[in-house]
Amino acid sequence: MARSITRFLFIRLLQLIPTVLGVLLIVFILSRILPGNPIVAILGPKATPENIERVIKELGLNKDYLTQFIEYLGKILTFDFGRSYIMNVRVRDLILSRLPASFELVITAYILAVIMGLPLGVIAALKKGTWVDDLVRVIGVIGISMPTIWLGMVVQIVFGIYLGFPVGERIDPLLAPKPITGFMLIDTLLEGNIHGFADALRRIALPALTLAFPLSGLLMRLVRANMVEVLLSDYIRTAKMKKLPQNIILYRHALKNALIPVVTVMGLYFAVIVTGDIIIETIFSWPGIGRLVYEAVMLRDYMVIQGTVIFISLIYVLVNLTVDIIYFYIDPRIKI
Amino acid sequence: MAVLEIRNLTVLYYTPKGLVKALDDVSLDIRNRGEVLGLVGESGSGKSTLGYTIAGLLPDNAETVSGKIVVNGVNVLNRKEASKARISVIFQDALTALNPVLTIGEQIAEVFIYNHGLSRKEAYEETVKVLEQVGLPRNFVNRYPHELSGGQRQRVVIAMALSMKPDLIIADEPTTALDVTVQAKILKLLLKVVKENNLTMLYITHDLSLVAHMCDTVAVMYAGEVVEYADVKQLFKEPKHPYTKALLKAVPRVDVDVEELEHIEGSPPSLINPPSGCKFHPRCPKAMSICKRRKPKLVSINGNRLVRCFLYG
Amino acid sequence: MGFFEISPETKDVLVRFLQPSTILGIAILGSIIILGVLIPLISPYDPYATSDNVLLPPLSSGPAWPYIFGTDSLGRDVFTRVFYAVSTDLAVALITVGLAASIGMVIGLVSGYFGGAFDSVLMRIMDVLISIPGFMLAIAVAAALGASLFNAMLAVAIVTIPIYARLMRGVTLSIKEQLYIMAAKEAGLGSLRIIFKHVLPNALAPLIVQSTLELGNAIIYIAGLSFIGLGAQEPQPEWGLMLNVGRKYLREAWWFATFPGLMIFLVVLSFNLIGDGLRDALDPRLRGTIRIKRSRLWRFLKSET
Repeated sequence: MARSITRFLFIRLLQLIPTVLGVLLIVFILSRILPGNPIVAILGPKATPENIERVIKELGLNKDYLTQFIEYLGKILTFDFGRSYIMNVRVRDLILSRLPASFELVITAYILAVIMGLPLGVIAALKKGTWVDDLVRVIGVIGISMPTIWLGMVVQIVFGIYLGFPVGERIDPLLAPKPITGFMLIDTLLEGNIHGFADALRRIALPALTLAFPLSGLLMRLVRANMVEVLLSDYIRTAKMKKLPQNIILYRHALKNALIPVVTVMGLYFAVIVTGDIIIETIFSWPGIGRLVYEAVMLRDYMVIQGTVIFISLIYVLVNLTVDIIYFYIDPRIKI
Repeated sequence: MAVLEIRNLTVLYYTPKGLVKALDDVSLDIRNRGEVLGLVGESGSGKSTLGYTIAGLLPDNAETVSGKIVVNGVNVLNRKEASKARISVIFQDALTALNPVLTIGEQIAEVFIYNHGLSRKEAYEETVKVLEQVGLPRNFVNRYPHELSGGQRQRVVIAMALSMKPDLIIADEPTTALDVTVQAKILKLLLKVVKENNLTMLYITHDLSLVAHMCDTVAVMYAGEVVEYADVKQLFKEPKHPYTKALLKAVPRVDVDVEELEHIEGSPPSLINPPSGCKFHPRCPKAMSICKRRKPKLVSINGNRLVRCFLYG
Repeated sequence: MGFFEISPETKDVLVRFLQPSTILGIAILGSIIILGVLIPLISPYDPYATSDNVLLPPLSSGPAWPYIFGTDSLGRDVFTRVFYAVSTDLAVALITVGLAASIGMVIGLVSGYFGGAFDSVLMRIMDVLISIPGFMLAIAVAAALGASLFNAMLAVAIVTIPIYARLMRGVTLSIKEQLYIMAAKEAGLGSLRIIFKHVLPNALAPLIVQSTLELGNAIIYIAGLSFIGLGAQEPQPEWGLMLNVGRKYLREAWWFATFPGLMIFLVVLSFNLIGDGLRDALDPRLRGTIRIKRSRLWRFLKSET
């Protein structure tokens, strides 16, 4: 049967629905088992008896659990994540306002991780057994063992305190560009605002590199392992028999095969980046969703915590779906 | 000038259990163009190692310690010269030998593009032609290896070997991985292709019966040495070396009633610690006392035959 | 074979395991564990006792022996606290991973062995758990249950269960395949015992390798949760918590946060090194791939006649 992307998408989306429902269910359950009185927890310091009454009616907490869940589902599906009573703002608005900062940071980190990790992994495989390989393996294992918290702090101490790198904003407010895409790096360029671009670059450099380092370690190791396996396979021997030029064997035959499993894993690595992102944004005071999570936990603002968990999980699901689609296109053996 | 000339070739493998002497001072020739030399032996006899050494495709833990291999005047063991050699291989396992993420067309066409300097268009034309030669239709150009059957994949591998336009083809047990019914078809194809193109081939196999179909001359290998070499008809009519005789007797025959199948006593020798003297002596029904003490040399009988056995000199 | 001789297969596995990197990992972990036992016994400082010697730099002199790692904001000796935390963090990691592994393996076994509805339902649940990024799920669970080290452990355990479930299921399924061939001979009786005799030994190797990785991960997650305030609480000596508090004093007292962080790094590093060594040692495909040195080659050749 011919492979069709629509068929593939259709089946994938069908499989996604129960998973997404499950995620929403888990968050729902968690939100209802808060210690003590959940409403007190949600309201925090504003938990006066009148407010409690009002909130119970607003959130429908006096109804039975099934109705609650259905209403909750309805709200989520219309992107209504409720209100944070502690911060007095709609959760959705809060998340959306912080989104561009995190998005830019995460994408930059992903790109940096690929630039750093991929070529090193390939070189290590090609030069297996030499000092180059050993060096890459050392960097790799250090990368994955390095707790982001510690690395972030060390980087801050060295670069932030001793070398005076700026911290806490995405860009000097005086140099801020008109928000077109929401990405500082792009918007400044679009305006021809070179000073702004340089400033934004300097500010994003440290958090992005710190975020990218563990990821690049993971990539280095994975790419190396896959390449080594591929280089030992029979079809590489066939390519050598065919007396093909070295770079053709490397790119067309070896890399093409070795990188396929790497692509799938890249989607899973999003979870790793999320972990690092929360920490990095906290340490570097980057105004994104990661720091929002930290703030919400500090304030015990459960509505925001709930909202961010749902939001990030949905993004995660989307990322993996995208990866699956890419995978479908690059591996001819996949049928559905 | 001979097509293939091998002199005193010794190849070792590094393994944790010790150094394996896969090829021990091997000398062999293919004199004439269009000749098919059969290389027969059990696993561990060194036949595949010999094939891959000629092709320059040995794994990392192998070492060519000494010897000379000249193919059509080109010294194949010399890195620089070897790139000029035109040798191709028909691999045993076609599934792993083909790149799973490239189409059949791409894998064959790149031989034409990078070896013969053709343009993409010309290369695809030639690809279609060579596919036709092996009996595959034009539309296979867009198929992927996993979409083909075992026999079809083997045809592709043969097509790839042909597209190199080689002076020498090394066929490494090309039918071993196939179903019996498909084996016959592939053998027929090979024969046809060899004759049509006047190809010189080194046909490696463990199956003596296949040799009778395909080959003009035969070399029998045991424990890394050539123990007998003869014209194919002579070998089958009058085998000289005890090992060859035992191999022939072990082939099940349809036309003769046999009580039980013959087999060779003992087991294949260790290549790390081979037996002293003649390596076959522990299993040889005709072993003499000298066989344990001294190694027999290859001697020539009746002009063109070679045997390594004290029974003959 | 004599009493102290080992078979060549075992020797091969040992050689592949005892690479320089693995030995380094064992050395680091060993030293940390030894110090973690020793320091609490011999240190003159009480990890909980506050004092007036606040935020002193490393190697400043104190009432007993010098403050090797300096003091924290409450005047406590960082060195003592850091090594008291060894038992805390390692115990926490072991319990968390142990819990996750036991539950996860049972789920995976049941899922793989019985298949059918069990499999679908259980794997769906596992899929859902995996669909939430680990740290986020841990935060959600820990936040819902309340901030304590115990709850943090539970949260991380829940996040880790699906990994073990998938692992075990994979092993069970592949063994099931092979067993159907053998079952023809063994008449399928006592299949439960057969499974236990065959599945568990095969699961042992990937289980051990995965666990070394997960131990490192658990420490990082729990430290992370403590860092955010959802894990260990004052005054417990725990590295993540020390990082959290130490962060505020980064400018004036870099040592406060640096040393606990360094410890986390070293412990996780050693787990990863050991895990790598184990993986290389136990991978059946790598059997027999160590090269022999060139010198042996010459000796071999010279002995030929």
